[in-house]
Amino acid sequence: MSLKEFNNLLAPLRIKLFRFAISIMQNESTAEDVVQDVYLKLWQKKELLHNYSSLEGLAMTMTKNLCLNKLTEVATHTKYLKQFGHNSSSFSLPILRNIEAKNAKNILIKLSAELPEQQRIIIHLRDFESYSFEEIEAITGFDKNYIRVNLSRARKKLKVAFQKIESYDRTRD
Amino acid sequence: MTEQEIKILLDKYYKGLTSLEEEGQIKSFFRATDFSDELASDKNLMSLVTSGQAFSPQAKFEFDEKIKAELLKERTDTRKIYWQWSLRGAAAVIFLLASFWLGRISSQSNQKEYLQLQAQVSKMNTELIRTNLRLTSPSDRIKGVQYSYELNSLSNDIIDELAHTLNNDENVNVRLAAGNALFQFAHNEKTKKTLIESINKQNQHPLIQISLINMMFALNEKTAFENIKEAIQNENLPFEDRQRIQKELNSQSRSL
Repeated sequence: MSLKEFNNLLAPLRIKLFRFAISIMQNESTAEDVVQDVYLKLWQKKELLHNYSSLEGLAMTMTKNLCLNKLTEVATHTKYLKQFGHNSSSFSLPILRNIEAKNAKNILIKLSAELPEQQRIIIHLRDFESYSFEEIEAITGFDKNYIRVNLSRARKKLKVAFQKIESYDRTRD
Repeated sequence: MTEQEIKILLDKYYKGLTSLEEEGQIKSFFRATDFSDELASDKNLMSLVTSGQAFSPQAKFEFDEKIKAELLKERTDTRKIYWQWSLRGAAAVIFLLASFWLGRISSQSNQKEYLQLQAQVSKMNTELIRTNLRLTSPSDRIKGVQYSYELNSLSNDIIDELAHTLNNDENVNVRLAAGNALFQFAHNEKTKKTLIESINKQNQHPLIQISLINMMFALNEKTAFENIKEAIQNENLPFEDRQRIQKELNSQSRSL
């Protein structure tokens, strides 16, 4: 496969992968690293790509796995520092704090950062990217019932959190 | 669609039971219809969640260029990579043989040969670190960094290699791994100095900067305090972290 063919095939997915990685990592520069790694890994297996029925599904799955690996690395790193007597509760890693919810994007980032990783992944795939349950099942490896239950929990949590923001705004006005 | 019908659909939506088609109907309803205040928060949430714009990246031309450059580099470096893999293969075989002989020789208490072979193994590990740190894939570079954990001490040139990775690698995880590897040998003055100097070279990478500062606090390293004070001025660090670092700095300075 030539570089041109590879680009024609996979470049259109870039924004989707980037958006997905940001929703999990909550950090643009790390998301950029992840997407770059995904493209490099896809390039390395370029001769095998025709074996996959959905390249988009493959790329999304790889993005999810790489993001979760990176989150684990950060968690391990924090644990490692703890072993040296450092109190990580006063020095947690700087993932999206101090966000003033000044606009819709920031509100949603702040709210979805409160969701557990799996719920964040599921609601992103369904509500932002409009994937079917079958596609989400293929990307995440979760079964359909698990997806529905977590999608429901995520939506309800977002609604409750959003109502709190609204009532806070009203009391300030 | 009436409000009553949309309420039924919303109930299904929050239970995760709507089809894509029904979710489309909810979106269209909120785009087009006047509705009571009761549905206002659903509308606001829906327009946020379904806008699809929430996590859209800003225009990042250089990002595309970066991927292309990496792919081309990967392609044109194929020969180099074959050579590197051969070297790694050879290193693995020598490492295996050396370990075998080490076992035999140490049981015969032949101290001199044992030390010679130990030095050879250490040299091979050093070579593996150097080779891996030049590979394209971040995970290979992290592997290279991890070989350093098998060494008893770091030679000056390996400290330089790891320092270069810590300060210049484009991947934040590789930088983090290099910082952790150096921290293992922080009792060595040169290593400690490298970590301290790196604090102010990480202004664009708050995650690494905070890790390095934490390492210095863990070591209670007062010679790093000036560099930490300078880092507190870095506006890329979240305000909350800067405050916490300042607090920790004050507390450690007092205990001196």
